[in-house]
Amino acid sequence: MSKMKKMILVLGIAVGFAACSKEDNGGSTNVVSTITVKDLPADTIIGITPGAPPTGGFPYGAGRYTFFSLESNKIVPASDSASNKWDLAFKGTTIATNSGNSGPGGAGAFVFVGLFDDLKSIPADSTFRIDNAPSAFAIPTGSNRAWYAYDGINQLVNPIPGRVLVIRTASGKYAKVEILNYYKGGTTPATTAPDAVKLSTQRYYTFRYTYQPNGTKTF
Amino acid sequence: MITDNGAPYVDEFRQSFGRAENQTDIQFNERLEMNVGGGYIHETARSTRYDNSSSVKTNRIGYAYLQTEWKALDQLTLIGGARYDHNELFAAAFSPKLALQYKINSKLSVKASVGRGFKAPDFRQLYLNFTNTAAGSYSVFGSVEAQKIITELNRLGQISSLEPAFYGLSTLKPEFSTGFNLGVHFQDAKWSVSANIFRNNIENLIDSRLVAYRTGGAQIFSYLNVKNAFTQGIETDVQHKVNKHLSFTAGYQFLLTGDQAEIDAINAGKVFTRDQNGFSRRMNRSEYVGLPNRSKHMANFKILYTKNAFFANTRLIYRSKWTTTDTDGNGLFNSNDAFAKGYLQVNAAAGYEFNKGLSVQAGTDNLFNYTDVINLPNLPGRTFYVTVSYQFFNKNPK
Repeated sequence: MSKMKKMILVLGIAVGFAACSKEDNGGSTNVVSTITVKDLPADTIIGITPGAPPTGGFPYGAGRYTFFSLESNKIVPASDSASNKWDLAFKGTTIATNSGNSGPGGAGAFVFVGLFDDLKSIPADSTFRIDNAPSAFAIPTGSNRAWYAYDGINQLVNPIPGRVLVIRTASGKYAKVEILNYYKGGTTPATTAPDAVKLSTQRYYTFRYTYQPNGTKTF
Repeated sequence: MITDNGAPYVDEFRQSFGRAENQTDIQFNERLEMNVGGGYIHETARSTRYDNSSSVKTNRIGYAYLQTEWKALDQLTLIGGARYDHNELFAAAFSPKLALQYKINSKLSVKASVGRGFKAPDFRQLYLNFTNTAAGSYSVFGSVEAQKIITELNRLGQISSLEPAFYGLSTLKPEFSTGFNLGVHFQDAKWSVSANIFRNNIENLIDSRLVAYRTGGAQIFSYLNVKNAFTQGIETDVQHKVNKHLSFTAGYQFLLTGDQAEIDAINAGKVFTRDQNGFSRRMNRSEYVGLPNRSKHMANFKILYTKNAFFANTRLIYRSKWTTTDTDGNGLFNSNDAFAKGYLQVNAAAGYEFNKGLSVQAGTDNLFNYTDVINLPNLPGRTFYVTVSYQFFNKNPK
């Protein structure tokens, strides 16, 4: 019975993505397209520190960012981290921009409160922040600050609805990003799922973004 | 017991509470009566639960009130009153009240009232610094202390997440409310039935909130003001004597709550949630739940049997689900958030009184052993008890 439910769920997701990609490629009048990136690993968990909270028992990864180019829709190798080739870098819940002390690029970002589709052009008076790691990132870190809320009872990370990351890329173009999910397969584990599942499936980003290659601030 | 830093747990609490009060009742005639009174409270507290025992908190409160009851007609009674509070730490408040009772006949009456209320934050809400190491290790910090303590814990890496309510913490303001009530009451030899509709508009409601989690998941609560809260609903109460031995009582409350500022934000399209694809969408008014920790339905039922020296009773207490945490992070409580499950608690007891001052009582609380460690840390599981008591000087032997 529960297996059958799972099947239906998987089927439902498959249909969901199919519908989504149809919308992206279909007869839209927009010049720019919206791309959905699935399961981008972001320093996935490789172990748990010994002991129990508050001194131990914390999951940890290898401590490495995953670099991503919005322009080419590709993961950029870490060897290119000191270049303009990447725009965003993901490590756990931290999203760095290729700006300030995170990278040599001219990137920047701010958090827009509203719907992804409603953001048709970036307001002229917008201020793009730049990274000053580790104390202040252009996209603020921490629960309930920028893009996610941590559910401490169930120990799950949930993206906050109505938050759009407005990005200036490393080369000065513009993009908008909505984080959709933080878990593998784009599905947050059930609140009752075992801790092992919650840990092994987290730090996989699903997000959608629109990149405007012509340098304007409209989407 | 030990504290977070490993030091022995010292729970010291000294509170002194001085109160002087006077009430004078004046009966002008058969139809007009007046009560006048006033008082003064001097309160100090010094406790390890409130930060450290060397600092003493003091407050002085003076108050005066007046109430007039006028039987305008045989069926109609009017009650007018007012109260003045002067709270040294907070504010002075004038709270008038007006009520009207009309007897339709000897069994049926209606009552309507409107009144203002005032509630200043108390020491607990301001200064408490308490961690219950026994039950889930949850903590409660008074609003004055909360920001300071949590910021410090966060600096030490002992906080895993800050809830939206944390950012809403500020100096607590006193609560002012306006309440409206309309009720009917029926009474005869066997039945007593009442129903009441109520609405309260509460400015700066003092409400407890989950504000942060410690690393390891322990919850931290504090208090904040809800700017424009309201509570409204219906409460009913039925008492019935079936016969000489058997009686029952039943109560039910239907409750809706909310914050007008949040409803305005929803109506303005500024509140979001997610659809099945994970895409954000606007939240609908119908998804709004209101204030946390309140159940929409609450009911209780008690059946009591007595015969001579024997008694037995069973009590059922029901509470429907209530929201606890804003898990989707949209800043308010909606149907996508975390809820505590509704539950039924059943208590049963029976006893017998012997005729030489000896009585025996046995019972069980929480018969079905309902527990919810996270949301109801103070509800123990099934408890059996037997009490035997003996009265040495029995003035009224049976």
